[in-house]
Amino acid sequence: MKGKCPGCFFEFDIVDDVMIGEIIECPDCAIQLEVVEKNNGGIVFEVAHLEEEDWGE
Amino acid sequence: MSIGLIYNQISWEEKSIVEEAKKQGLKIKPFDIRKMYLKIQDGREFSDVDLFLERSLSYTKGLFSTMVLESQGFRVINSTECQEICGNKLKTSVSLNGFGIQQPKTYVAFSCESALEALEKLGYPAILKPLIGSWGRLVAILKDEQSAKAILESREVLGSVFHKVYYLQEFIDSGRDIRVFVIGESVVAAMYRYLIPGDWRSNATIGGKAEACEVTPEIEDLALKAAAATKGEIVGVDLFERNNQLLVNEVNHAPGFRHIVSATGVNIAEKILEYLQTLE
Repeated sequence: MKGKCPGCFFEFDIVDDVMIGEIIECPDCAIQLEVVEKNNGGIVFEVAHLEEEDWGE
Repeated sequence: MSIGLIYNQISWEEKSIVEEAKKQGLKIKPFDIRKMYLKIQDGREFSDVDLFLERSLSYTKGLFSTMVLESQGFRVINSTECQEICGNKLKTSVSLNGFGIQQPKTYVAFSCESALEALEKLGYPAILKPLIGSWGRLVAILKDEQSAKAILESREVLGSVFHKVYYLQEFIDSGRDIRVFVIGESVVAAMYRYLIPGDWRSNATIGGKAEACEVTPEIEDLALKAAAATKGEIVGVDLFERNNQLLVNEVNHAPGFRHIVSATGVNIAEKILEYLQTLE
């Protein structure tokens, strides 16, 4: 499957078992992306939201 | 067994749990907490789930979803009680102290002025931590009275109500800490986390170097006691070393494990799933 980075517009291949919500690094600009949709047209990414006040491990 | 995996992002840890579940032939159903709504009345939802593994990065959302799922009769790991204790540093300290577990000297103060008085007793440098938060965020080193005043006054003006409860701790200058991974009644791995160059914190998440640590009987004993004191089933226990004495710094209820896997080679996802199957 293919997806396009919304930051640099680089298009790249993604493994088929990628999950909604999965965090992927753009191989071109290295920005962290979140998979928000999988459909026949490919993968849709958004720039990942990586931190909020109560986030942690 | 069918496991519900609660998450708000699929990071390396959640993906490895999902992949390991496939290997073990376990059913795993991911639940994106941002898309969840839960009913309060009329009993149990999700007839296709036996228990839940809570891995939300958001402390608040993880805690409240766990509370509701438990009210419906589900077993959730970790429990609401554990999350409440571990997610709040003051509750953690009080719980550890109740079990006689060694930890850095700690004070809590409720105004800028009383915090400065407590710091006189604690000595400088000292650490100011937010009650809720992780990854070293908003943790400040107070090097002397002047810097303490500046930081405390800024929290007094700009902070939320929680930032105006001042959790103050002695600074342990050992150059590293130890993250111990506890699952059930066992310590499965431990790693050293070294100070970040140019920083005084050691969180691997913000770049601290990680290295395998031998699990000594002392480390094992203290980590298991800390997990029990905080009602933790799957937790990361952070230890400091001070003059050959181990102290418990924090207990994390949704611990990341990417760095400990790479430092030790232990398959944490496999061990988590093996443990969950014992709960059937």
